[in-house]
Amino acid sequence: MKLWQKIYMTALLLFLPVLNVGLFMGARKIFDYNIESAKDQASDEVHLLCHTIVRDIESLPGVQQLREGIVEEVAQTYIDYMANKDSNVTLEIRYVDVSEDLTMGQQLIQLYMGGDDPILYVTELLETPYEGYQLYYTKPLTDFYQLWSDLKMVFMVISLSCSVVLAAILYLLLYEMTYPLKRLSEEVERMRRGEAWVPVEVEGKDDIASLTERFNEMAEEIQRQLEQLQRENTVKQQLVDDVAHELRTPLTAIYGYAEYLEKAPCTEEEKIDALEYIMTESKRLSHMGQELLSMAIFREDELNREEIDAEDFVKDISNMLEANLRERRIKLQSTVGLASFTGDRAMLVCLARNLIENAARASESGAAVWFYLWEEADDFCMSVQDQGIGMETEELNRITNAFYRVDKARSRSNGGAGIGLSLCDLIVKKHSGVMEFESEPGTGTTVTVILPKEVGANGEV
Amino acid sequence: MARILIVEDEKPINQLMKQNLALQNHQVLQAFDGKEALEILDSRADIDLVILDIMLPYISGLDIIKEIHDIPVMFVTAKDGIQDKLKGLTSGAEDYLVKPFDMLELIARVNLILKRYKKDATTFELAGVTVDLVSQRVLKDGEEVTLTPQEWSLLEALIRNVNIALSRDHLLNMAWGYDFDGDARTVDVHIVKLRKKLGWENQIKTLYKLGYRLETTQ
Repeated sequence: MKLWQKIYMTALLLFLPVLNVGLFMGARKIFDYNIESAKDQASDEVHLLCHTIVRDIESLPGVQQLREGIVEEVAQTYIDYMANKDSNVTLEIRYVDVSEDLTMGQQLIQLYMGGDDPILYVTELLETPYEGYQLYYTKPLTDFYQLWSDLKMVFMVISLSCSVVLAAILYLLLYEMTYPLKRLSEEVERMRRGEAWVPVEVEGKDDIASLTERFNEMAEEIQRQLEQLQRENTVKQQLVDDVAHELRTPLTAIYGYAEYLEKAPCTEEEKIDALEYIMTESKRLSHMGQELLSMAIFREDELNREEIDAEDFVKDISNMLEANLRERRIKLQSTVGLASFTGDRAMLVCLARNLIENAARASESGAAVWFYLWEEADDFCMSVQDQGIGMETEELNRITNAFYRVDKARSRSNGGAGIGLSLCDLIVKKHSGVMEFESEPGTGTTVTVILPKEVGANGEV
Repeated sequence: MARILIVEDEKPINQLMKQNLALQNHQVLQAFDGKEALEILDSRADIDLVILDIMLPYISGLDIIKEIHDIPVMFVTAKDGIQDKLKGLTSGAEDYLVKPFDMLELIARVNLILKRYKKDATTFELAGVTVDLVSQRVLKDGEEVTLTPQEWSLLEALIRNVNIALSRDHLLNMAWGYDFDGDARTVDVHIVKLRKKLGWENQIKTLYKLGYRLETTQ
């Protein structure tokens, strides 16, 4: 049962008995009042009659007063008169000598219910010296039962119509008042089914309105988080797809050449080429594994900011890259324009190394790659410049959203792992910095990384 | 023998496919990006089959296939999602092969497409023996050689995978079918008979641990 129905039922159950008992008691009161007034009327009448009879006798000449049966005679005129006036009323005078129940001036009023009609008996002793006489007054209250049932009828009708009207009003009122709850429940159900949340209109300022408001806020928050999760998921999925794709390429080559060596009649030359491919692709695979690992580690790691000596930093990098560069016969020319800077050393080394390796890969054998380190008002800057193949503007634009493909196209002949630039991007973002590319096909590429000196506590990515 | 264009940006893989198909005496052209592929397709009308990667520099494989008419296309790609496969196959490609692939699978699929387009070889000649693959007749120095059905199946399997080592199990499957209950010895026996009947003592090589290989190059 719904809340509003519960309230409705409870209200009706509480209210209807009260209403009906109240009405019944009201009816009873009116009935009692009527009986009471009939009694009073009869009592007054009897009293008056007794009094009048005695006065009448007293007004007679003295002899007459003492005559036997004079009381009955006088009374008879009143009895007749009453019989004329109201045929219902029976009046009787009786000589009782000494009354058991009554003293003079007192009345005995009795009401006999039972029978067809209630009957009202009123008895009174006459005044001295006629106190032996008692006047009996009998009046059947013919209309009273009728009155009672009429009253009951009227009150039943009132009660019934009141109940109906009340029930109807209560129903409409409660329905109307709880309608926002119903709307809210409908919307929640819709959301549960996975549909988009439509804010529920808020009316008034009651509890339901504030509940609705909270719900709207909550749903919006949930939706926002859901969307963010989905976005993150898409990015992750993209990365997984890319990694899977990029893993497959060297694997295909390694497996394919091994199979070729096994199954095909190879010439000496083919054998050497195939083995060469197997070795370079294996190296590429292992390099890719390393980069993926660093990426996973860097992604999770807190930024470990420290003071880095610039000269030291450059020396480190050139040592690390020496073998690689010598093999390609690339000269690294470093210019250091600052004494020290702050950042996560491991990450920044990885960043510089990757950028320089990229530049070296894009360059012809024997060319130079320039590495600059300097500072500006609020930033540390790092720049790598080459005079290599360069990139089209179109490719440059894609660099920021899908590193991968561009790098892939470039790395075709020189074995780049393809994750390098996204790793660089991650590192720069961890340092709250920006990375800018400037390139022209044939003339070379310049990558500039700008890292702010002052960063929020945890350098949000 | 067919003329096949391979479009694949990874040089090692492009080269690998070329070598594999060259074993089958196919003539192979190579393109390393989308632009190059379209240039070759524009300038030549004699290409029988295009093997196409999807993720290519400049122009993607899915865009290239829109420019190709009347030439069967086979996608060879690392994208293995069902959505990617559907996209590839509904774009008009004949087949879809996922990397890393097996040499034998690549060749079998290429053969199948060529057969469907009637671009496959109908005759095979080696060391004085001419094999008509359609009428299933074998001539040795102008004289007809009679082969049992099993011998013929074995010969066909060897010719369809010429220059590739085939294991005994593999040959058994290809020549006798998967439900055949024989053992590897059956293959050996039939190979001996084939060598004798065709005079291919040197052409059908026995390879240690691997099986047999029909070689066209000595």
